Amino acid sequence: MPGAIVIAGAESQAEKSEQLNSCGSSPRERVQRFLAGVELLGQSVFGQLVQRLSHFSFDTMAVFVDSSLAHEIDDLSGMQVDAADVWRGAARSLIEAKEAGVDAVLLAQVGAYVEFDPADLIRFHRDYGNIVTRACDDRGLLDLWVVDPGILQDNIDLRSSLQTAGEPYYQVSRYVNRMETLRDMRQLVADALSSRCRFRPQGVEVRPGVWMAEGAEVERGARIVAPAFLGRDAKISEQCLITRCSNIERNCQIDYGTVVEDSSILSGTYVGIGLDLAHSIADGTCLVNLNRQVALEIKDPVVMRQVRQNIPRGESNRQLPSNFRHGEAVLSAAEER
Amino acid sequence: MLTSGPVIVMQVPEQFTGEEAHHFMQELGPLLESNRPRVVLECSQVRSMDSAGIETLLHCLEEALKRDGDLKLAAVSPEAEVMLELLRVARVFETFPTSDEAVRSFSAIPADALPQESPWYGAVFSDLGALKQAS
Repeated sequence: MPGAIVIAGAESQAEKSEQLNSCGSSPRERVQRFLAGVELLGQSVFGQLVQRLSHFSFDTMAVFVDSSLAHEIDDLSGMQVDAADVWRGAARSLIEAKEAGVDAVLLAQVGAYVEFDPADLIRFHRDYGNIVTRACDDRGLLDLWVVDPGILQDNIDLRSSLQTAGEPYYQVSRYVNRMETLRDMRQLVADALSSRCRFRPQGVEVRPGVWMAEGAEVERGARIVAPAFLGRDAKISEQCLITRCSNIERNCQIDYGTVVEDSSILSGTYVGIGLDLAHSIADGTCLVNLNRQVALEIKDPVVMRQVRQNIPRGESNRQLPSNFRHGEAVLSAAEER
Repeated sequence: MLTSGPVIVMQVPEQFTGEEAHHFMQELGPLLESNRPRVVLECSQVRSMDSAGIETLLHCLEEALKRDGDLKLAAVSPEAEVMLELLRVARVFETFPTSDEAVRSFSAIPADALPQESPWYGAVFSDLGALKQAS
């Protein structure tokens, strides 16, 4: 009887943000430290993991989001956010799981995008009779564990205990993107659009390699060259060209004649008339050029601007299954059913 | 003989936007009114540039070209480079890694200053003839 806990914790993100690429003074870096919360191809890495695990046959599932990260997750639909220490909450959940007779709990701290088979990971854990099993890939350890809640004490420092978990590690052989830098973020988009991983665009493949979400609009004379993604209610004006694994996220507007090449336009961004955007990530007034490793704040609203705030949480198109509760009260989903 | 004054080298301000761009134009404007103005704009300090800054650069180039002169950019910072590319004007300007190189480029004999008695390919063919003889 397995359970699952997903954590979006802030404590390691501050450390990670210092290691972000040389776009050191990027407004994106200052504001958006949690790259796994950025909506890409219609869904964040965080949202994608929660959704994937919710479809797996876990008896109980809990999601903890640190309050400092809540505003950095684009698609935090239907989740209650708890200001409490997420690790303390997770430890309490494990104790509750122990009391409920759960023998293995999958615990994922979201950061990297990891493709794995939860059933295989839990089977590995059980086969070796471990107390804690940690996953790793060719590049090192991942923030993904299976824990036997039976051994937990009431006052355990869960985070430290997990960090010291030793071999045998569960080797993840599928696709992993650590999402540590903006370049990683672009790579995930390119890999997803090129079917090199299972991160699927949220929309309809209107023709090979071109995905469009509901409400996306392409005006006459605009060209979308595969692979490319147009998010919900995105608008592409006349004579634009969108190409080379570019993703135009929700509520973006690309104005007349602009070329977007090998770039990500994050949700709610307006890109002006007759521009050439290449090898970049645009987010509101922030432009990061990955080739030149330059981050700019564009103060000229004619060139770039924030179109509008994201759709209020809870009104988003994606809702988590109603039988999962998020926040402090956890692992009670099974009882509710 | 070419008649032109010295090459003017000017530093573009760090914030090349709105008001700053306007002040810059006021400074540079009179210098562009000379005969064959030759201007190098040193852009290494530029950290921020908007459409007004780009507009100023284009206006300066236009004024220089109108008077048979030229305007070149030197040591363009990555920030300025990104903006020039974003606004599709990067190819309009001749750019050089340093101000010195940009200044020296004005001393090179322009193509239209070559004698026009013989066609341009005459020199190429005479060189080829010399090569054949040598081989």
